[in-house]
Amino acid sequence: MIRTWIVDDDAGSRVAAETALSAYEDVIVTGRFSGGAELFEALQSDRADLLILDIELGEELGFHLARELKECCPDLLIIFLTGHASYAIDGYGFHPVDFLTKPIRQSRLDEAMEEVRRRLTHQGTPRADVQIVLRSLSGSRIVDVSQLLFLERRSRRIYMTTTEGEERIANYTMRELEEMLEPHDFFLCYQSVLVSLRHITGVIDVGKGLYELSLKGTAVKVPLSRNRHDELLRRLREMG
Amino acid sequence: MWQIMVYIIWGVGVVYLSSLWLGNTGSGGFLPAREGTFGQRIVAEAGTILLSIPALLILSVLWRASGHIPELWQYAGYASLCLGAVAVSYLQSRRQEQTEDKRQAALRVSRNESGEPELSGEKRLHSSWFLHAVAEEGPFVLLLPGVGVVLAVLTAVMCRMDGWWFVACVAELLLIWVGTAEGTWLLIRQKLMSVRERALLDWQRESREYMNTIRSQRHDFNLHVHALTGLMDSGDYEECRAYLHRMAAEAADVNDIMPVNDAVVGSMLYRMREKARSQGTDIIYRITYDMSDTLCSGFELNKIIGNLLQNAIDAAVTEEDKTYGIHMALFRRRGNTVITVENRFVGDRSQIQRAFEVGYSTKKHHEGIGLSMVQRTLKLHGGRIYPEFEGDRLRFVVNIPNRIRLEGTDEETYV
Repeated sequence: MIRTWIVDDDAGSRVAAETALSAYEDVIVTGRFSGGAELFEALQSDRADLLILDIELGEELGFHLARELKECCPDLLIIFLTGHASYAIDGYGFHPVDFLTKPIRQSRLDEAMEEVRRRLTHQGTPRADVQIVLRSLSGSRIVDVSQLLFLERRSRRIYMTTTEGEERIANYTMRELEEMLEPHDFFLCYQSVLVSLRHITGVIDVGKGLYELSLKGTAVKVPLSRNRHDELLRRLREMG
Repeated sequence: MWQIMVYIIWGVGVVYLSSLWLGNTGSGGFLPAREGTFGQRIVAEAGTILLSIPALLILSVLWRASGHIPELWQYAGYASLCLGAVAVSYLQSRRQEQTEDKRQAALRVSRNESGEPELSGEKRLHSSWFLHAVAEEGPFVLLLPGVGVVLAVLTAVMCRMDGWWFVACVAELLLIWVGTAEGTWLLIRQKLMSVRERALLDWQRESREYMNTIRSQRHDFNLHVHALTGLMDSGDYEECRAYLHRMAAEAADVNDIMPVNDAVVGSMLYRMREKARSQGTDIIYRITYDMSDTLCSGFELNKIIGNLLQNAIDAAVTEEDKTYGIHMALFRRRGNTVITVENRFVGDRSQIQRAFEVGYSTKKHHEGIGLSMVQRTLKLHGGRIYPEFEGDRLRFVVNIPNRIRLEGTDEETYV
């Protein structure tokens, strides 16, 4: 069950949110609060998985609460709920699961809850059936992201290595590739190498501050630059 | 007396021909000379002739003062001048038609559903008006005044002119020449003005529509309160609930789009969803960026997003199961604006690979320039578009760089 708390200074809004959440059998609302003080008091003794947080809580802003919550309970998932759509632009700085406007549109809440479930069970990764279209030397090529191990720039050429082997593709900048593939858990582990985090099986310390990555599906080792090492470990931890 | 008649007929002929020239370059006439039927064009030219009457009078006076009766070969010289004017006029009008056709072809792609062309297709090629005119009309623009001078000199030489006769002839040629140059200039100005003005009008109209939607919600507030009070008082709670749900849905429709800064884009998104719904599908927006720093103009964004949504709608209506609908997300990622449009796709994936080629379309009766045009527009700003497949869904991802504002200055830099 997803233990959910609702923070809203308006009683009617709290009821509306709870009613909307009642559509999901795996959600149970265990706390209703009208402001930050009540919320932090409850946090002394209890925990929740998900917080539905209003942004205009009387005098205080929900953003401030969100910032404090990130400090004390970084695992708490937050869905912002507000009457002001324009807050959405600031709100995303807090990496909430989603940002919903009142009145709640059930279909949007459906999507948000789907994301909550993914994050809670670490099932964010099985988007394995994604295919992207890359420009190849002879036009374009549809590539299964799940089979793509890494991309490398060598002497101004781009090579991609899939489970089937290496192939040269059309010229892209590493930045372009990074932007395309980052949402699919790719990581720039070296200035000229973009690696699939899902395929990393181990980080090898080869001494003198140098690292290599071993990958599932290939014997080739991929270099990891020293200053990307910590960031990589953080990303791997995040993915579970 | 008959000499005066000859002068007048002669003058009318010359002025008429030059007016054709002028009419074609758009300086005179009650109607734009290039539009309408032949008859309408003639009427348009007549307007130019009327405007040229003062010039004709001056010429007649000058000729009479010269006391010179032209000889046959001098008529011939003059006739050649007139023929030259006709040729130039014809060439220029052909040139304009071709330019216009090209422009229309570009516009056809971005017509909105009410059939009006979206002026996003118009783009200034150069920052300077003059260079723009040259680029748009070709170097021919520069030739026109030159052609006038050459004709004037040729005629003067051929007719072995002297005295008042020479002055009269040169004056008339100068009139034509100035008229042509000015006409050309006016044409350029008019074209550019009309682009800007029409773009502005479009923008205003779109903004107004959008604002009206928002405003009408406000207006409806009183009505809603009235209706709800009535329903509550009469104890019809079921109807009251249904009414409230309809209100909530209506409000949510606008809320989805509210974060977008540009009213033109907001309006387009609103209309596209209406359109999708009228065809049995729906667009679900997920917008978390206002696009205030996106490098494209509102019109370009409309063209890009509009094309993608239109394609998605066209694809969705052929699906038997329309429940998945169209999902559009707009967000910011690493100094870029990212727009994704997603819909169900069960066809041949290699078709999508080819979709960016000019002239390729999976749809019947389609020009197949939508996606390649989107790509071209994006390229101008260093953006890109690429397709992704996820399960049975097809997603187009658009990436446009944002401008970065340096703190404390008005300077902008691009990444």
